[in-house]
Parts: sequence; structure tokens; C-alpha cells
Amino acid sequence: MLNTDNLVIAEEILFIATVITYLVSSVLYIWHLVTRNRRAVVMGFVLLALGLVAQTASLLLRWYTSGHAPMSDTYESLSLFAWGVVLAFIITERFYPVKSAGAIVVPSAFLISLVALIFYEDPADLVPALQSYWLWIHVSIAMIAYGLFALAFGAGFFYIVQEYLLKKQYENVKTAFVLLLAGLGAVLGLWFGSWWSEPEMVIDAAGNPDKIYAGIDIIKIIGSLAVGLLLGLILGSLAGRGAARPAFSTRLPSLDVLDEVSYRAIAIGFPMLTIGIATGAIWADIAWGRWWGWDPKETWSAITWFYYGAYLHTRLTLGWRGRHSALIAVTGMAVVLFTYFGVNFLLSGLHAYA
Amino acid sequence: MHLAVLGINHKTAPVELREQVSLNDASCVSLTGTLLDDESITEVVPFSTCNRTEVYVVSSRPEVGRRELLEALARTAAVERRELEGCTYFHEGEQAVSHLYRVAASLDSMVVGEAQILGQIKQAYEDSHERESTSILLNRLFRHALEVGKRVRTETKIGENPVSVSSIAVELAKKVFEDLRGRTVLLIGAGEMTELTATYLVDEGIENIFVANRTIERAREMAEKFDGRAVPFEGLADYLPITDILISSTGAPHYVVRKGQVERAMRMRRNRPIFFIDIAVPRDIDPGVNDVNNAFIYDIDDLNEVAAVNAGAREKEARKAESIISQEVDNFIHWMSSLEVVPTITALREMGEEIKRAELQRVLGKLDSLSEGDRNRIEAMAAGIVNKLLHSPTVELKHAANERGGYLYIESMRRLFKLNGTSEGRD
Repeated sequence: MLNTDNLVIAEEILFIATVITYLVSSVLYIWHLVTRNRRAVVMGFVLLALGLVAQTASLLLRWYTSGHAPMSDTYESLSLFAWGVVLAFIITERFYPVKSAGAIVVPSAFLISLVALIFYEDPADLVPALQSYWLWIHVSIAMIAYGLFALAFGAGFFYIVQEYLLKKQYENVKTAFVLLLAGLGAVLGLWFGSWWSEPEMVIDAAGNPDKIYAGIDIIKIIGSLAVGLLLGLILGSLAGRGAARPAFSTRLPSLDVLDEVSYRAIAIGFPMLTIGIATGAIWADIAWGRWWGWDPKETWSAITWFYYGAYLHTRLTLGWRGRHSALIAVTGMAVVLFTYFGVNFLLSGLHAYA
Repeated sequence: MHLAVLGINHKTAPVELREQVSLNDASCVSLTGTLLDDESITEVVPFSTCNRTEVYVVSSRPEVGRRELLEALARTAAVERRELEGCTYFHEGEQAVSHLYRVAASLDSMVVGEAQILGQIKQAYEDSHERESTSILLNRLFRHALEVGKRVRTETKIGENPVSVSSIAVELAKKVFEDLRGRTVLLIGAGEMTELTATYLVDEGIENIFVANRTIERAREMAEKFDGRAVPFEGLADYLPITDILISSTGAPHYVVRKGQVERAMRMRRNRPIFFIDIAVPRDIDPGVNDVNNAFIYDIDDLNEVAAVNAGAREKEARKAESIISQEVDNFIHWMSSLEVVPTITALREMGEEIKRAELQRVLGKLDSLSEGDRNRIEAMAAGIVNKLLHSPTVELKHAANERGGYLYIESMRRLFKLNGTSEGRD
């Protein structure tokens, strides 16, 4: 029997290495977008692939030391999310000319894994409620769907930017970058704030768990949100100014490819989400004796399902494509993020881990 | 060995003169012959494109220069020497190497970064090589120049960022469609620009071409060139639903394509994008078309704006190319010096030995009363003088081989001591 403590340390070191590798790879992908340096994108890709290998090893080690699939706490689930995004990008990048989209997808993966690192906890035994092979099936399928939606988001965002560039609407390019980075900053700020605050867990009159935030916690949350938003605004306007010029469109993938990547990702992601929800319902029936109970997580996953259903529906029956579809793919990410994290942090319910 | 180039290009001469001086195969042969008739000229490569005519020579005498080359070129091209004189440039040694490398890297071209020049240099060199008018120096120089040209193209982005209106239009179309194979293009107005752009599009795999023109005969003519179809000018809107790329350049005083038509077409093609290229002045396409979802329109001003941005980007890359070139010129000059230094030192030593031998013979012949020991001492003294005298030049020459511009010392040495022959043989 191997020494488990050493394995846990190895797992954490591997994960830290992954986060650093993703950071360097992000810088290289952004550098490539700015300067079109070919070596940067080759090195960025190699690092990304190495990072994925390290992360896979880290996840497998955790699986081995904890004795259950790494899908139980916030750290594990976020790490898995980042892993899914990177894997989806690496595969897509081999088949479509979307290298430059790495400048948004890889930094996203880095941020997700960074947040995972903040939430890092030593592997623990599963709480009894999660001790089931359904955990593995339900969570991994939902994770694949989320990874694909993240990819659709990246492609959709670049679609919108590329379309504005090709339409010579440079002011809108700036706005798009400001909105994206301010939104990202706000989400990260909120994340950080809720991690920083220490709400009190209480059981309300109906017997359900609830979180109580004291005044100081609210200041922490709002403060972090404001700082994140401000940083996002600054970075967004800088990036927007850099991108908003006549020849920048040649650095981004073509509209055709971006539209197709976004569409394919959702066309595969949507049935995945459907299966994820269905397996969740089966598990809920086994564990809690009911298929569906409008628990916040259940409600929001239903909203997500309808949202991406609308994407496919408008596309297939109304012939929508291009910017309208891209807008759904981009805003859909906010819905996914809320379903995935927001529900856990802001609402209480049966799905709250950590 | 002395390297020199005489040339004339688009910067120094008007097109009429360039045309006269332009060399075909026969005149290349005769120019090479004329120059090689000069005993001191050992290698010749003439090089001629539509924008330049140049002749590279290697001679054993540095005096062979501008005047001889100018005369030979004027005679071959049947132009007055005086007419040619003010329109030519002349470089020697390091400058000549640098010039060829800049030409190969297309830094000296009319359109900086154009790709054809490398192939043209390769052809000119291979022709000369076949004529056996090249040897060790020009062989190395031209092969190296081709490598430098390739290196500049791979290490800088000088060839990217198109700067001509037609290629920019194609590049932008590829940002909408990615792959142009199998797409349909509608050409309105059968002008020169439309034709040029259509040629680029066909190269990218465009298959279906429709041509609309006020006079249907012109449309038919052009359609024939591209294996396309002429369509009636009045009914061109009917073709919008199946058109992916539209290029318009008519002389019409009003819009030929209107917003309403595009909106209708867009519904029929279920929002698949249309890319409009409007190179007419005044414009043919209602600028309002750009507001239609999935319709993209570029007029001549937009394309020129991109061209200006791209030209700026090429400028930046050209600066990187210059630094690659200066590094490569150093490498070549270093090689050139080391090529010369060994034979020069050998020749210098041989000369010293020869003087020593002759002088000893002369003096010792008169002093026959000397003992064996005294003879040896005098011989040793003579050897000592020669060695000490030549020691420092030998060391300096060896250093010169590793120095920038070192070949100048070698050349001076050869000239001061009248050292000839040795390294001049052909390989």
C-alpha cells in the first residue's frame, strides 16, 4: 500500500503545476492573438496539452486516494470542469482552425482551475447521500455538457466580435469586450466574496438548511464584486481598443467556423444535459424517493435545458444563425454558471456541497 | 576575389528604360560572354525581372568596376552608356552581398513582401550555373541568398497581410466563409478590377460564376474566361439568393443593389451570409445593406483602409528582416574572408621564401671563403628576417578572417605584395 499522505501532496502539486501551466499557456495564446507569433501558439498548445496530462494525473490520484470519483466537493467539480473545457478545446482545435479562440477559452480554463485551487480541500470520504455509482454517471455527463457549453460560449463570443469587425462596427467590438470582461470580473468577484465570507448555516422553520450572512460578510461580497467589476471594465476597454481596428478580423477564425463550432458544441451538449438531468432524476428517486422536487438546482437545470433547447429550436425551425444564435450561446453561459455555482453559493438546497 | 553588382530597378529608372535593359536568355548569354572575355572577371550572374536588371560579377582586380559593367550592359541592351549611367546603382563587397539579400527577401521590391522574387533569383542563378559562368563565390552567394530569402519569409510575417485591394477582398471573404470552394460569385460590371478579383477567387476554389453587365456581350466574354454564365443585368436581383460573394464595379450613377433586394434574398437563403465587394465609384451597393443581418459590404475606401494598415504591418516586419539580413551578410563576409586568408598567407610565405632563396644564392655565391658554420649563420639570419617581417602580417590576416570587413585587409595585402593566382580557380 502506498503512503496516502504523499499521494495527496503529489496530487496537490500536480494540480498547482496544472494551474501554472494553464496560466502560461493563456499568456501565450493571448500573445499569439496580439502579435500573431506562430511559435507562441505552438508553445501554448504544447503547454496546454502538458497541463491536461498533469491535471488528468492529479484527478486520477485523487480518485485513488479518496476511493471515489473526483466529483464530490467544489474543488473536485471545478477541476473536472476546467479539465472538460481544455479537453474540448484541444479536440476542437485539431479539427477546426480556431487557434485564436484559445485566447479566451484557455484563460477561462485557467480561471476555473484557479478558483478550484482556492477551494482546495484534502480528499474526504463521501457524505452518505453521495455514496452511489449514480454520482459518477450523473456528474460526469453534466460536466461534459458544461464543458461543451463553455466551448460554445467561446466560439459565440468570438463570432460576435468577428461579425462586428467585418461589419466595421468598431464601437461595438469595444462594447463586447467590456461586457465580457466586466461580467467575468463580476462573477469572479462574487465567487471570491462568497468564499471570503463566512455565512452561518441554520435550519429554518421548515427544516431546510439555510445560510445567514452577517453585515461584514455582505460588505466583503459587495466589495469583491465591485473590485472584480472595475478590473473587468479596465481590462475590457483595453482589449476592446486593441481589437477594434480594420485588419484585426484576419487574426480571428472565420464566421463560418465559429458558427459551426458553437452549433456543434450545443448540438452535442444539449442531449448530454438531457441525459444528465434524467440520470439525476433517477438518482433522486432512488436517494430521496422522488423524481423531481423543484430544488433550486433542479429548477435551474431545467431553465438551462430550456435555454439551450431554444438555441436549437430557433436554429432548426426559424433558420436563425450567426449573431442571434451566438448571443444565445454567450448568454447561456451565465445560466450555466448560475446553475453550476450560483445555486450552491446563493441559494440553499440539497445539491449544496462543500 | 572582388564582388560587385551593377543594376537598374524601379526606383532608379523609368519603365521605358527598364524595358530596354531587360535581358532575355540570349542577351544574358551575350552579356556573360562579353564580361568573361575580360581576363580578370571570373564569375558572372545576370538577373532580370520586369522591375530590375542586375549583373553580379567576381573579378580578381578591384579596379574592374562600374565602368566595365556599365559598358557591357549598355552594349548588350543597345542603349547609350550616358543614358544608363545616371539610372544605375553599383555596389561592391559587403554592400553587394547585402543588396542581393535584400532583393531576395523582397525588401527591394515594388510590393515589399511579394513572393515571386525568390523563384526568379533561383532561375537566374541556375541558368548561369548551367552556362558555367559561376564558381565558388557566386555559387555560395546565390545559394545563401535563396536561404536568406526563405528564412525571412518563415521568420517574419512580411508575406502576410495582403496589400492589394483584390487580395484583401479575398482574404476578408475567407473570414466570412472559411472555405471558398464550391461558393457562388456574382460579378456585376465586366471591368478589369472585377476580373482580377475573380481570378483570385477562382484560385481559391470558387466554382460558380455569374456575370451581369449592361452589354450582355461583354458579360458573355468574361463569363467564358471563367467558365461561368452571363445573366441579364436587369434581373440580377434574382440571383442574390444563390450568391455568396458579389463583386460590383459598374459606372452606374445610382445604386445597382438595394437594401430591400438584399433583405428579400437573405430570407430566401435562410440567413446564409453574403459578402459584397463594391469597387465602383460612385458606389454600386446601397451602404444600408451593411445593416442587414449576415450581409457584409466593403467599398473601395474600406479596402484601402485595410491596405494601409497591412502596409504598416509589413513595414514593421521589414525591419525585422533587415536585422536578419545584416546577420547573414556578416556570416557570408566571414566565409569570404576565411576563403581568402589561407591562400593569401601561403602566397605571402612563398614570396618570402623566394626572396630569401634568391638573395642567399646571390650573396653566398660571392662569399665562397666562408666556413660551413658561417654559411649556416647567414642562412639562419636571412630566414629570421623573413619570418619576423611576415610574422605580424600573418597573425593579422588570421584575425582579419574573423572580423567584419576583414576581406579589405586581405585584398590590400594581395595588392601591396602583388600576390596573384591561387584561390581564383573555378570549382
